[in-house]
Amino acid sequence: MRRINPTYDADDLYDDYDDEDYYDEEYEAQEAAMLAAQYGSSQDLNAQQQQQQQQQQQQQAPPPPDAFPAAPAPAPGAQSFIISNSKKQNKKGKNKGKKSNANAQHPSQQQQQQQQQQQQHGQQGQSAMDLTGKVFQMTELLDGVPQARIREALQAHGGNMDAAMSQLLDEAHANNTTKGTGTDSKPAAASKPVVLSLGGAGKGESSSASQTPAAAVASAAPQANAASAAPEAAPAPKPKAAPSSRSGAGAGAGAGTASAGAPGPGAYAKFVSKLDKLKLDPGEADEKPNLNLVVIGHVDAGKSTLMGHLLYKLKYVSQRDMHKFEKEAKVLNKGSFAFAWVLDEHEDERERGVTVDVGVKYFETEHRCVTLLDAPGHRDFIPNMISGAAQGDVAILVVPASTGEFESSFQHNGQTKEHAILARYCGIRKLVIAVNKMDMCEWSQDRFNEVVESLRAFLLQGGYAAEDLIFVPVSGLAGVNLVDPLPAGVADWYKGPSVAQCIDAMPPVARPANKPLRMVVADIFKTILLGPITVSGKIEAGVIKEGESVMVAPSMVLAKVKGIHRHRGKEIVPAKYARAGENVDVGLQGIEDTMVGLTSVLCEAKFPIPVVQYFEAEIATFDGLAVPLLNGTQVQLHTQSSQAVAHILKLASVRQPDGKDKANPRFIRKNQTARVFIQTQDSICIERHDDFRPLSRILLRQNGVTVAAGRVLDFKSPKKKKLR
Amino acid sequence: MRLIKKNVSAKDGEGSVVLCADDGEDMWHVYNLISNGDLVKATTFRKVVKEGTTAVSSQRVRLTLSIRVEGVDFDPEECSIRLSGRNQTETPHVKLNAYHTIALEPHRNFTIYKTRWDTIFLERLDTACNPVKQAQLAAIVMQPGLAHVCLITGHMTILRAKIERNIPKKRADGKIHRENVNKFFEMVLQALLREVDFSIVKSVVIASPGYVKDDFFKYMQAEASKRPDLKPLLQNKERFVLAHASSGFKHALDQVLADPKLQSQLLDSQAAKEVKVLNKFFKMLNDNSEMAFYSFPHVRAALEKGAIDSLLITDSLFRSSNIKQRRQYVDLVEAARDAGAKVYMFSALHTSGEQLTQLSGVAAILRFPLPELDDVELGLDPDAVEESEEDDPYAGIDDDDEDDEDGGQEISLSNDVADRAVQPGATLTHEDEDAREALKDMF
Repeated sequence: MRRINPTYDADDLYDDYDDEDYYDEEYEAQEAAMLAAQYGSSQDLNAQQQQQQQQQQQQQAPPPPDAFPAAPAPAPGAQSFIISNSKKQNKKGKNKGKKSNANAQHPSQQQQQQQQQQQQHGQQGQSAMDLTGKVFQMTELLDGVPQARIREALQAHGGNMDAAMSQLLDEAHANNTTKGTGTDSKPAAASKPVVLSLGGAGKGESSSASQTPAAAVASAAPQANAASAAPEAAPAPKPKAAPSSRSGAGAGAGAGTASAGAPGPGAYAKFVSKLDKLKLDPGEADEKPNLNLVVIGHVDAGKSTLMGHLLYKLKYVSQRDMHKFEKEAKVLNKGSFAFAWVLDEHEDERERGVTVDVGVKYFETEHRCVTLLDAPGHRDFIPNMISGAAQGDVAILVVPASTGEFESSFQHNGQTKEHAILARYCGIRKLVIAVNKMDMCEWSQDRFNEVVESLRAFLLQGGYAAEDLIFVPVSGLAGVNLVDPLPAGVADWYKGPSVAQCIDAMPPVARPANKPLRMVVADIFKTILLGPITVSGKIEAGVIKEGESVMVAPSMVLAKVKGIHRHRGKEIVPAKYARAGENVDVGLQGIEDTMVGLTSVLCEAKFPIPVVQYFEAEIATFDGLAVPLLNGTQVQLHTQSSQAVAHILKLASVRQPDGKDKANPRFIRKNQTARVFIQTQDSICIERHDDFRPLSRILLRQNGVTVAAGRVLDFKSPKKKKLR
Repeated sequence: MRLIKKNVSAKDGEGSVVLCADDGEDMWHVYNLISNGDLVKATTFRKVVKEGTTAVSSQRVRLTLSIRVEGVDFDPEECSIRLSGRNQTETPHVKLNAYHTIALEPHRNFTIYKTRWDTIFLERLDTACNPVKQAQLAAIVMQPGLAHVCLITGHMTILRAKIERNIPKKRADGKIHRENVNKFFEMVLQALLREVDFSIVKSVVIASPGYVKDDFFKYMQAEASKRPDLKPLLQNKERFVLAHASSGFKHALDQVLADPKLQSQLLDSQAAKEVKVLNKFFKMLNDNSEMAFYSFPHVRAALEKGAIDSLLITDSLFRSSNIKQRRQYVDLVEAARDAGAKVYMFSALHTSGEQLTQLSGVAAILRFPLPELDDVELGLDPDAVEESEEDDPYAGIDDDDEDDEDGGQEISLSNDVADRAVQPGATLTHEDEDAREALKDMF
């Protein structure tokens, strides 16, 4: 890794490092206590099962009173189980020659046979390394399950991945029993009680929040992000307690990793959350949870029109403006594009009728504060779409239902598939599929079902979970089923919610606000209030405060935060601070405009994001890979908003159909999983997957086609090992 | 390039040639002709210090020196060559065996003496002295906020200008965005004016994803009709060609060169041919992986079986300062030719050559499949061990690594890598063990 020498005085920054030694001891003692309490007998299966039972009991307990009334959070743990199930099935399905598997809950017989074969295989060559590899593999699949649990399950089953998986899935099933019936109304967070119990194991919830750094410390451990299942800021009675209970969940995960014979604190173990130090606004407790919503789909699917019309219906566009748009659109002979003009603000976008750049708008529903990111659909602008999707929590996939249009958007060259897959690899799980232009096929139920079925099969294969998909028939142009439910007589066969209701019912997303600050710069511009260097983007982790110094990576200069602007609907509200999950404008002082770009990440001065030129990554290649990846293949690397030229330094290994890794492959074909070393031309900001998942994601593109997606495992060069 | 005199023995290839370079491309050829150990005689200047009785005066003296070359540097932007080595000419101004650096200049004769002119050198000489000049092509690849202005000649793609500018995304007020886009276009336009000489350049390709190229072309025309300084652009309007590229990065040029729509403009261009052959190799690797191989050990093994149909090799391999290693590649090319294979020499300056260099610099398309080769581990190739530090693709990284460790100890930035550098054993995760295991297997 090449580290750019910071231009500030290093001593200055690390002054209070010495003080933290004091924390260390305390922290270690606490961690040990926690370990003893929870996983001390990690080898003992009984204890483990007891704990699981305990968890399940807790999960079946009635939802806490502070749960969100209209849109109770779903059971995130359970969902991730199911995702993994379908994912696993899909992988197998591919190996076995495309098997469609719409049923995500029950593995088919054939697969079980395969599992048994693998079991035999696994038992023969069982070793510690095998186990570690499997744990790793499963962690990826079972997003949000502590590694310790996986490891235990694996040990219990003698290293058989599938058996262990099914055990964990059973647990998931148990979680599921607490679920409600409707697709969009789900009971409160299943793992919240777990969180509480974990907190209890430590010192008691609120005290651990305010006094000990341990909870926050441990929350920085690998799984914290995914494992922290407690919904953010659901209007809880004690707003200050909400983040701390999340860190409790993280503590569980962190401790789990430790008990698995590994390492202890992650990279940011020394980071002490700033949340407690902040004086939260009194009104904070009443704030609506934030939701970043990205709209994706094929070009001309009607994304902008649909969202434009939605904004109009929600009264975020005045009648006068709308009238103006209509008039002007007619002049350009593009009358049907009037609603799209709400989001396509550029003249050239309007003239061509194509969205080029991600359009950002802010609106509020009854329970959510939404940042709307309208992604372009045209294949040439996929880099922009990636930038949008990377900021999104959930997505609306717009698909045209009209005859021929759906087919062409869904074929190999259509962007429907690519967008959906890219969004999944950008970390988006929940998808509202707006089946648009229903008015053009007379609201035919058959057509709707046809579209739904072919999409569902594809999306399940692409790693989405069945219950994370909501299909809504709409007409963006006519504005039907956008905000108000369908009027009688239009499509009486559809009883589900409208688009706005779906958005409103989206569960709040857990935000790692107690990690070091990471804000990915998505745009740089000039404002009167915030000065010549104003950046906007989503805060991925941590808290940004007015007046504080932040590090601008990768140029590694310190900048002062001049001011922060939040968007509340059409209003711009100055704020003293903003935290993870928010999409804000930040004015920076004390730097030149050349020091900040779309590759930049604002981060905690003492805990900067790693700036590297090469790394080891695990990648999965796509259908789009026309030419195999070789040692030395040149690719374009996309991370969040940034693009970089990179090449593959070395193919380390490739996954064979039998599940084993072949070292030193000559090339990697499409639809394979491999480990590679990648070198970039210029330094980039990236995190290791274990440290912070959202910023470890990479996408590789070649000649305008996405060829692979992956995650950064480590910052290593192949040669270093070769020498030893 | 003009060949003034050639005096090379047919028997053992010993001898000298006198050359006169005319332009940048010739310089590139010369760079590929001169290797360490050669004797080069050329005109040069040296500052000579005269110590008189009262004052010390220095004087720039023009000399003709021959030096034994120990280092060759090529600057692709200036297209200049600097040779350093020990002086072999007796003169009152420079001592024998004293170090001297000669900058080769265009339009001045110089002599290269080699103990052995092998086929690769002689071929290069022929190519260089071919009077039929290929037309120059200028290309601009751009995306919002990023543009590369390149000149493409027969054997070189030279990046003349890289333009970067932050362009704000769209907001309610489109004015700021428009202003910034125009400023960006203006920067590209100025670079175009500065770098492109319409007396040499046959056509100018503007390539981009989306509408950037159209917008830029529109802007250019609008401005050119208004401003007298842009007159040359207006006069040569018909030389501009718009094409699609997937991004504004330099390697997107490959796509432009492979574009069938542009083939009439690019006809006979070496760069376009190279792209085609390389794409053929990739396609073969994809369709029938047992008929396409890369890396020296594999290709040599395929050659021994007489299987090579086309050999793709970059000229950078022949610039190796290690004579033994260079010899290997020369033998490879000669043997392949003898076996009836087509040999494509890629210029390392073209984007396709750059790519081939990254793929170890040598690749082959076979006549018949060799499945048994597929299983041969790349392993430790004997070549890599011998490779000098300079040519080692990992060398730079290694250095970085060491820096990194040092940096970690000194600054102790609390990021993970630094932590680990300080205490390797203590903070290893099991993924590390994993990776280490994997790496153990690897080597």
